[in-house]
Amino acid sequence: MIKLIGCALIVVATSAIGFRVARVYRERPRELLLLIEALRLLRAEIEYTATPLPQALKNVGARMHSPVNIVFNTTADELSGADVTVGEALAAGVRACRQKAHLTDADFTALAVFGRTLGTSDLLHQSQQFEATLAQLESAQKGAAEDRRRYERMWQYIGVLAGLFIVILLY
Amino acid sequence: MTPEIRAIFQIAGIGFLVAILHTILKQSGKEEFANWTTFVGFVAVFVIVIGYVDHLYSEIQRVFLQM
Repeated sequence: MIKLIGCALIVVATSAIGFRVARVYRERPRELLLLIEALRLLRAEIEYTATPLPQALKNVGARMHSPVNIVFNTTADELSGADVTVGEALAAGVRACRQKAHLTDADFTALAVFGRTLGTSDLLHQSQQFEATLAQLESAQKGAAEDRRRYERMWQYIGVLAGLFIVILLY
Repeated sequence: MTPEIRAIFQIAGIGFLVAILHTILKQSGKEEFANWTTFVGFVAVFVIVIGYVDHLYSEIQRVFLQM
């Protein structure tokens, strides 16, 4: 009886690990989509309504879902505080978001590079910067969706099968 | 269940799991990992079988070569 319970525990544990790894692949495309949507909103705030940046960031943060809203809310908070550049504030926002989100370092680097250009040029060049960052994030999103299709199911299977493998070896 | 029958089921189970894993890994384009799992399965089965082979040889020695 105890043996059976132990077997079940092993299988459940390895399956949980597998599903956890698979979750990264499931969440990343969704979060990238949210990030793209957030940047589009920010672009509209800046180009169309010409809202001041802290307020624009706050508006975007209020309209976004977790975990992407953390980036914008933290950046807005940082900006309203001591004298920091936008790049530093956005870097702080990215750091705050990093533990919660399933995005990779490359995604965050794109965002941080974009943050360093935010508010340093006129509308035309800012617009070009938005285009470039959005294009980069969109290609990352396509890659993430492809990765999801390939690896999500694979990791789930590997988790369960590895548990069964260990159980058979030790039984 | 005698130990021998258990070993047979164990080996069959490992073969089954490794076959599934190999297919899934190959489908996801991770061919080298697929080959490694096959190798690991082979080694696991080998470890199980080697005890029985050892037993077999000592038995042969005991029956035929007893001085």
